[in-house]
Amino acid sequence: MAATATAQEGPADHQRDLDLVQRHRYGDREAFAEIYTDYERTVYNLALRMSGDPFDAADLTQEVFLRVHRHLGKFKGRSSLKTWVFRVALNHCRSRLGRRREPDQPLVDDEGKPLREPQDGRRDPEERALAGDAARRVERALARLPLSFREAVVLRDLEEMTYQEIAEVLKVRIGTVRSRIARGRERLREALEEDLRAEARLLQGREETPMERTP
Amino acid sequence: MSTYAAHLSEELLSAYLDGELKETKAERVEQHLEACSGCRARMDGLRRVVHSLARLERAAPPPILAQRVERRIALEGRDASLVERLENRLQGLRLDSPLVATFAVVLALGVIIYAFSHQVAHHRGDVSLQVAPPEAVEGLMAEFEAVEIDGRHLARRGEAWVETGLGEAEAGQAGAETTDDAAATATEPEIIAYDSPRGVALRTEHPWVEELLTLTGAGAVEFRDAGGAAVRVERWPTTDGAGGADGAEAGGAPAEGKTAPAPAPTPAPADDEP
Repeated sequence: MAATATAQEGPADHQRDLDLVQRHRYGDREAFAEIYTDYERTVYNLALRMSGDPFDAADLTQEVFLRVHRHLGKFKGRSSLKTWVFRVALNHCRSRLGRRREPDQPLVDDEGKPLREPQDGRRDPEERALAGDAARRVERALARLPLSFREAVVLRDLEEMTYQEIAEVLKVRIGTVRSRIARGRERLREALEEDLRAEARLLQGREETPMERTP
Repeated sequence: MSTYAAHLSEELLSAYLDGELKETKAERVEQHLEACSGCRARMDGLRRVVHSLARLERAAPPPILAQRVERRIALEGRDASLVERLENRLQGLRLDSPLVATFAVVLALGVIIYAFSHQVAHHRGDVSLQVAPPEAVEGLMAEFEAVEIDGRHLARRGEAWVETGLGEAEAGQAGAETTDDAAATATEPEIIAYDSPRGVALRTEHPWVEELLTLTGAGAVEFRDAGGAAVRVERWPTTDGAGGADGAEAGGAPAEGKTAPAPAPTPAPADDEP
């Protein structure tokens, strides 16, 4: 399979970008409203996957659009508007989230307990495995990835961007994109497999004890 | 053409899966996969990860979000100076025709003249628009030169806080950014981001003062501390003499020696409550 053609915007899209920005410069509020409509869901989901928290995602989205609004007049059209909006969004997420905690630091849940269970794996694996369906587990594993891996994986696997587009958004070389995606996925695989093992241990334990657990 | 003798790296597997390899490389990967069950198994594992990521549902943003953004932008717009708008227009013009260039010069002159008059008005505004930050908040503001609270820009003038039309830090930056990239990577005006001794993180745009629109009236402030706990500060008294500062055309010296009004409210971390 050859490398897919990059999903770059066509000339028509580019012209639309420029028109929107021009209208915005001239005070046409509808222009920003259109941009907001185009990207709200995308930016919100990006923020959600980066922060792992709907409350934070809403805040981040609001802040991102304020910045977009503020700087839109200076957009020169060297990249697509989409790339630019993503860049604003990710830079913002990075500065907010990076400030809050070190990338590798384990997340804590509402009660301050670390989400990643102790290595012996015996601390309440039931709860953890039962509480989360597959999607929960994936979300949790994603939220634990270091920021730089997380953003690369999110752009690739959730936003379906090409490596070239990701390189533009993140302002890094393609080789770096490639390595971050691979390492991010590798870590996810490990985390998810560890989850499955914990679940298997749990099921095994249940067979041994006939008593039904009450939640 | 040889196949890969050694096992495939994670990068090769990933890039192959994404269709990001050149044809010749992709073929070599395929040949290796045919021969190597270990790498096939790793590829399957990788596929499962990618598949489960792709299946994550896209969430709908809260319906209220658009309104929130609109309101914040309206607040900013109220304060945005004409200068900025003119600048924006100038940037939108093509300066390649003599006519347009002439027009631009005239416009620029207008901007300069406006800027002067604005400066004066701005200065006058400083005096008449003194605000007294709620005391509970003031302690938190002690380390700032300027803050933005729900769209209102406040700057320190000696002992007092005054509202400024355009965020000052931002005004200083205006026009400094000329490239897309600068706009994208520009950090917020540095009036934010500190961890106070009480562990409260204030951020420029973070609605840490969620629904509070005036700093002088009584009301409630809600924000989250560094630990994510909800903190609510209620009913601070207004500073003596500055009561109803909105209307007070005091025009006097900044409020000196902030007399602490009676019941000093203290932030009540939610955790401490029963």
